[in-house]
Amino acid sequence: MQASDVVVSKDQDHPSERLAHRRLHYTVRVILRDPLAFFSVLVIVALIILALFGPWIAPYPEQGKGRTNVPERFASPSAKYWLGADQLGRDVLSRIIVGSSIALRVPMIVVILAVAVGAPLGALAGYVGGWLDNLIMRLTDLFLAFPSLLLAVAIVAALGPSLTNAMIAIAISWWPWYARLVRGVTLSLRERYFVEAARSIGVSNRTIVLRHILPNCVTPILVQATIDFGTVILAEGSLAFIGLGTQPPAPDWGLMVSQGRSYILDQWWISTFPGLAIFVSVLAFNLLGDTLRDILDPRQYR
Amino acid sequence: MLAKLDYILKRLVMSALVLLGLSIITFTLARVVPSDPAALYIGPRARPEQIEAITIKLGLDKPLYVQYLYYLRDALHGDLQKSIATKRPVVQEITERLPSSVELLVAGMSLATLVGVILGVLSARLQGSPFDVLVRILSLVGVSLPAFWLALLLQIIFYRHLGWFPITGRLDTTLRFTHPIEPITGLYLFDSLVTGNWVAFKDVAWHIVLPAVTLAAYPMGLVARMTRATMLEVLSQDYIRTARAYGVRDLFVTGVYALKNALGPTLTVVGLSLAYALTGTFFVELVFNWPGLGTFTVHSLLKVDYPAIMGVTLFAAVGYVIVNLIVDLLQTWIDPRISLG
Amino acid sequence: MAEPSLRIEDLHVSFFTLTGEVRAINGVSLEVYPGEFFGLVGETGCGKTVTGLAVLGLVPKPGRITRGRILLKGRDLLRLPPREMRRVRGGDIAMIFQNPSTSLNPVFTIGSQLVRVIRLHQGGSKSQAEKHACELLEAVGLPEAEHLMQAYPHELSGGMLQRVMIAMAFSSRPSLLIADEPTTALDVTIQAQILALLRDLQSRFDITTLLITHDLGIIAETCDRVAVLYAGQVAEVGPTMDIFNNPGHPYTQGLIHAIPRPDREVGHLAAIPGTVPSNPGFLSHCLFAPRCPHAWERCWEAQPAPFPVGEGHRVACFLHEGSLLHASQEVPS
Repeated sequence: MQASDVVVSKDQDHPSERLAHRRLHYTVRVILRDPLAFFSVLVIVALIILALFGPWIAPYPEQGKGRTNVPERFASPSAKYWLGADQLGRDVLSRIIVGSSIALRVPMIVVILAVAVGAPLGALAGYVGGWLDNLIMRLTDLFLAFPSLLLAVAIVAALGPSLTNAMIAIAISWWPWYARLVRGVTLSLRERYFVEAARSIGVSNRTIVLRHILPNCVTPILVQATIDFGTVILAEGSLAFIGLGTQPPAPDWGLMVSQGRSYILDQWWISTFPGLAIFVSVLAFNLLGDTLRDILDPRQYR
Repeated sequence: MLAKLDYILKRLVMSALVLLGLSIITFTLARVVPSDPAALYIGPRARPEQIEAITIKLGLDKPLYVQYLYYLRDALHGDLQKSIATKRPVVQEITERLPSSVELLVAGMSLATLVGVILGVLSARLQGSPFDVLVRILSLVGVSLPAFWLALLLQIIFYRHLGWFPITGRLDTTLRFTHPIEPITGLYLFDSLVTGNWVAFKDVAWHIVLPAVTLAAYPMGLVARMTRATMLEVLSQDYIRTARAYGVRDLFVTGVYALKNALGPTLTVVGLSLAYALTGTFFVELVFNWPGLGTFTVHSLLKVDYPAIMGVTLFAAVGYVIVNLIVDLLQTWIDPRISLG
Repeated sequence: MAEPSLRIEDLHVSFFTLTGEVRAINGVSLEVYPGEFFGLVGETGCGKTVTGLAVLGLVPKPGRITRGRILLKGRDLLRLPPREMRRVRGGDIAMIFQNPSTSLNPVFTIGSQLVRVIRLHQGGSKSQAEKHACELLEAVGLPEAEHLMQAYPHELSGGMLQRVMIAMAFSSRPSLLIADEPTTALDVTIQAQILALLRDLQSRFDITTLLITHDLGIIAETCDRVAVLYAGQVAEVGPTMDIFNNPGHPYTQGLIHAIPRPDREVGHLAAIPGTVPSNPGFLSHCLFAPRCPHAWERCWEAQPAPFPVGEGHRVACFLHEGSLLHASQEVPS
């Protein structure tokens, strides 16, 4: 029997598992009751469905992917084209639907990357302390000293405009947040008694970090990640708008807004609806993140 | 006083190190990534001998760290090389466009801070009321709106359909001849006001409304939310109860007594949102054809004009660090509990 | 017989929370006479702090006074317009709170906060107020008053801050001082000093003091009369000596027996079995009955009125029904 199997870990897990279960139920109930939170969950679920099944849902899927339809260019919103057609005759609605997969894919990859890089570094910095902590902190300071989007813009400019590079750039400018977050939690937990108790019976540092500290980080990371989903959608859309992200003819929402800009005054629907899609998505994620934060209140880890 | 100086010095050193690091990163990216910076410099139709000549002239054949040191030396002397696109010194491009961007930023941030703080304070005091709900929705909307989309939307509504505001540039071109603004600071609002040039002032003001509002949306949302959250916490504190127990008027309690405690975090958020505002200028300037650093940066990025990009990046970094330093100093002045250590 | 400075008549306070109405105070009546040191004692949650706040009209949301009158020198405070009430707060009635470290605004100097209160209630110029503030600080035993005026709250200790609070409270010579657990957050040695200070100021300026505490020891040392609160009602009220020597209410008896005596050998610490009812306001029997060793059928039928058992000594318990006379009688001085 190993030291890690002994009392502290076992008893520590069971109550916290039950606690996590109860919190989940409570969370779900609160969300179902609050109309705004409910709305945001609906929107997000709708987005996921669109992202997964877009090509089957969209009325004109090939146009969604880029096939032009020049004879019908600038068609205003009608029964045939619900949201109108753009400057190349493509159905705006279909483009938005197909574009949802980009919109959701990017934040997922970016957030996963950022957490994968940031969380371990943050935990390391917080737990080990000393020069390692200092080093990692100076590194994050460096990245955080600069507005993150600005940094992302610079990186994409250097790497060349493409969706992949945009994702890399955003991820690079995002990981410091998670490192800081996890470091904060780690620092506050490190001093708690149960860690001291575990250490005193010989539980290895690695086990402590993995089994006791990281699980407690899940909640604040979850809250931050939900809000970040929205922020990343915004960032990616912004990059695409400038021309530093996805390239045509991809149905990226930000790109669509940019392309419709020249016709904004008369054919307003080309830019307005994709932008609306971005807005609603970001709003939904922000709302959900806010609700989660209110419920789970990671302030105790500040 | 001595403690403050010591603190400033420490922060300056830290900031310098951070800037150094940043410059290294941008420089490395700029030199390492493109396959041939020299060819980029001259253009697509260069002959091999020209490329070679330029390479030697720009010192691109020397090792990377040497190049960096040269760059650093020049930068400290105020020379940020020449823009590839315009062939003019980057420093000049920056200084020419700086006032327009500064004016826009100041207008937008002032609007955001003022409106955000007022809304946040009122919303906290009237917690639970319809007004509170409205403010919370508004703030959430503010931080969710894509700046570029808001800009376009405002253009459609307020120009195309209502015709209230213009949507391009800072000033009506005809006014440049009929009522030219004396270039004192380059800030048109200030200059025209100070010289009594009312016609130009009104025109400039009209031109700055939509861009400033667009820029202010996101920071305003942040500021309002932070102010509200902090005020709520402050209003539940014991010392507020004490003030009320001694008959202090509610207006004073909320507006001065409580607010002074809430200003600290609010100030932090203002500094933070400045970062967002900086990136926001890209889109706002682009969409409104505002002749500022934002448009210049975007164009430089698209043309891959490395000296310009590096110059602006460095410049923005310096500015941002300075502003953060000021914000931190203000914090210690507001809250006497914060030590300068 | 003097008129009471403070008369609370049948006070009811409820908190309207998301989970329903919580009746914190269920019919509290008491009189505090001019110049006396009156103690309000009870365990945590019995409503003593809320009573104090109610007098000042500061019951926090979602709480509200639902019934009763609070008369200060004959004026019903609950009927006063807001502006009048503001003048009463800090003017006629002053309150000091439990935690002095958090009772003062951390971003303003001690001096500025004192000056503001002084100018609010007595007018005058800033320099006059500053002079007055210095005098007050010296009167409560704080050295280097001028220096202290420039200090911030976080630079002072708990004991010093409580003295500042006392100075603020006495600044307008209030007719009533309410002290809500003024020493609970302080060291025992400082406790004694603060209590001595309160008693000293009270006798010097003849100020009526309402001391709220959970510590019977403090009551015994300092108070002239005391009211024992249980679950939002007055269980017993009377002169301190009477209550300690002849506790009439089983709850009071339990409390006094629960005090550990170092001079006696005790087998185990006496405690009152059971717990305070969670929402006592909706019960119609004697609130203490479930825990009372002497309860009988009568106790479950109705709630006892305060029956007189001695001079100025009333007990709300059916054990004493008919001891002297029924119904409340004028308490002799």
